[in-house]
Amino acid sequence: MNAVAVPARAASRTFASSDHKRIAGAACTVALVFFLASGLLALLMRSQLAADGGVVSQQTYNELFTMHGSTMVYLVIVPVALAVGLYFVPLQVGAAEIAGPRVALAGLWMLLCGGVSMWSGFLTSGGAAAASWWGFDPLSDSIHSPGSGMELWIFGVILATLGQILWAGCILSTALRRRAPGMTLMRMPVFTWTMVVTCVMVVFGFPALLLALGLLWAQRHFGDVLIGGAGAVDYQALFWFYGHPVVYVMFFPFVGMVGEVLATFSSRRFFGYSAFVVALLAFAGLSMTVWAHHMYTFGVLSNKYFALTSTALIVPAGVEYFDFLATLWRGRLRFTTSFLFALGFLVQFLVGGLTGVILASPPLDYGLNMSYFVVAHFHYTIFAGSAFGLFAGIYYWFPKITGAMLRERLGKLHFVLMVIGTNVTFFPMFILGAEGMTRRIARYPASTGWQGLNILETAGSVVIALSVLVFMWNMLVSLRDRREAGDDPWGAQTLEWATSSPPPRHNFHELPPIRSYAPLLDLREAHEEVGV
Amino acid sequence: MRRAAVVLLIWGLWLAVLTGVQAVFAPKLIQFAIPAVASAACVLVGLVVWALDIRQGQVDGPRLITDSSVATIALVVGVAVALIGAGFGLWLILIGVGIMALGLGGVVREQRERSRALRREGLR
Repeated sequence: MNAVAVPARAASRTFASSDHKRIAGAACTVALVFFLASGLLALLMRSQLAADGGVVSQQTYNELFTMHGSTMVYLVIVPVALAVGLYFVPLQVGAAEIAGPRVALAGLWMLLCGGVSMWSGFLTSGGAAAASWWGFDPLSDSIHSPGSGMELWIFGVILATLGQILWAGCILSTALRRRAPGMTLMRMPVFTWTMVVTCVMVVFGFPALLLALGLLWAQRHFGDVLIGGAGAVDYQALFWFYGHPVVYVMFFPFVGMVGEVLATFSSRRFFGYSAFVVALLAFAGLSMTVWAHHMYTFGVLSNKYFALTSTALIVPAGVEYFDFLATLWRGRLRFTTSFLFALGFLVQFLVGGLTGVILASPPLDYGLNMSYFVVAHFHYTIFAGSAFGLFAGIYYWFPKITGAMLRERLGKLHFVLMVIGTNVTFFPMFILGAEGMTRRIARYPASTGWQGLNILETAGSVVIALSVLVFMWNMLVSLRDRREAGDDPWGAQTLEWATSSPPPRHNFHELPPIRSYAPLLDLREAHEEVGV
Repeated sequence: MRRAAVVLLIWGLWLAVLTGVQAVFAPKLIQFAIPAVASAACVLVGLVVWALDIRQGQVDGPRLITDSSVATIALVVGVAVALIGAGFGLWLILIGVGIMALGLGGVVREQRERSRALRREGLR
C-alpha cells in the first residue's frame, strides 16, 4: 500500500498527532496518571478501614469509593484496553493506518476532557460525586446529591464513554475493512479477534449508558423523568446493559494478549483457533444478556432467564481455558516475565470466574449481594485477572513500542510482589463478605471482629503499590539505559513483529506473505524445511 | 469481498436469538427492548457494511496519511465545553459552540488541504 505523509510541526505532532500509535501512547499516559490518582484514593480507603474509620468522614469516604471506581472503569481499564487495540490492531492486520485517524484523536481528547470534568468535582464546594460508579437514581438525583460535583461526573462519564465508542468504531472498522491482502477474517490474530468482539460490545452496548446518564441529567433538572420505583428500575436496566458488558470489555482484550503470549512463549501455534473465535463471539453475545443478574434482589425482572445466561457463560469460558492449556501442552516453555504474568492471569482469573458462578445463582446472590464477597469477585476478575493480562501484554509488547527491552529481573520482582499483594488484599474479602461485611461503609463496629483481616488487606494494598513502583522503576531504567530489542526479540508469530521496533509512521515497509493466523511462524517453519 | 459484514450479522442475529429466548420467561418490556434494539442496530450496521463491500469491492489504493489535526482538538474541546455548559448556563454553552465552530472550520480546511495534496501527488 502506498502512503504519503503530510508533514506537521513538532508541537502539533505531540498533542494533535493522528498517528494511531501516538494516540494510543497518549491514551495510556493519561490512563496511567488517572490510575496513580485512583490508587491513592484506594490507599486512603484502605487506611480508613484499617484505622477503624478514623481517617476521613463518611461523606469523604463516599466520594473516595465513587471516584476510585469511576476512574478505574471509565478512565483507566476500558481506555487502556481499547488503546492497546488502537496501537496493535492496525499492525496485526497489516494496515498502514487506523481507519478514521481524526476520529481516534477526537476519542483521546474526549477521554481527557471527561477525566478532567469528573475530577474537577473535588474542587467544587460540595465535593466530588458520591453516588458510586453507577450513580443510581434516586441516590444521584438533585435532592440526594445536590451540587455541581455530580453534574461534572455525569458530563465527564458521557464524554469519556463517547470517546470510547469513537475508538471502538475506528478499531472495528480497521479490523474488518482495512486488512492487508491475504489477511482473511480467519487469519486474524487472536488478539485482533478479541478486540473485534470487544469493539462490537462497545459500539452496541455503551450507548445505553449515554441514554441512562441523559435521563439522569434530565431528572436532576426537570424531575418526573425517572418516576418512582419504575424509573429507578429503568435507569438500572439501562445502566447494567452497559455495566455488565463493560466487565467483558475490560477482560476480552487481555484474554487476547494472554493468548498471544502463551503461544509465543510455548513456541507453538495457538491451539483450537477456530473454536476460540466461535467461543469469543458466543461469549460476547451471552455477556450482553446477563446484565440483570446485578438486579436479582429487585425481583422484578426474570431472574431465571438471567441465571440461565449467566451460568451458560462457563461454556465459552471453558473452551477458551481449554485452548490456553492445550497451547501450553508439550510446548517449549520460556518463563519470561510476560509468560509469568500470563500464567498468573490464568490461575487468578479462574478464582474470579468460579466465584462468578456462585453469584450467578439468585438464591446465593440474595445472601451475598452488596457484600465484600462481590468486591472480592470483581477484583479477582478485573485486577487479579485483567491487570495481570495487561502486564503480560506490556512486558511482551514494550520492546515493539519502544525498541528497548524491559529488565527481566526487575520484572520478576514486580510479578512476585504483585501476586503476593493481590492475594493478600483481595482473598480475605471473600471471607469478610461471607461473614456479612457490606460494601461502602466507612466504619464497622469493633464487635464484628473484622479489623484483623482489614488490616491484612491494607498491608496487601501497600505491597501492590510497591510492585507498581518497581514496575515504573523498571520502565525508567530500561528507557534510560537501553538494551536494544531488534524487530522480533521473542520469536513471535504475528505481523507486528515483521516491522521495525518502534514501527515507522506507515507501519510497514513490506509485508510477509500471510497464509495463516501465525504468518511469522509459517515463515520460520518454511525456512526450517528448506534448511533440512 | 472482505466479508466484514459477516461478523456483525452473525453476532447481531445471535444476540437477537438470545433476546428472543426471553419470551419463555415472561419478560418485562425494558429487559426485552434494550437488547432487541442493540441486536437490530448491529444487524442494520452489518447490512450497511455489506452493501458498502459489494459497491466498493476490495479496493486498496494509495492513502494519504495526515500527521496531525489541531482542529479536531478544538472541535472536541468545544463539544465538551458546550456539554458541561448544559449544567452551568447558556453562557458556557455559547462559548463551547464558538470553539466548536472554529474547530469545524479547521477540519474543513484540513480536508481541503488533503484533497489538494492528493492531487499534487497524482493520487486523485
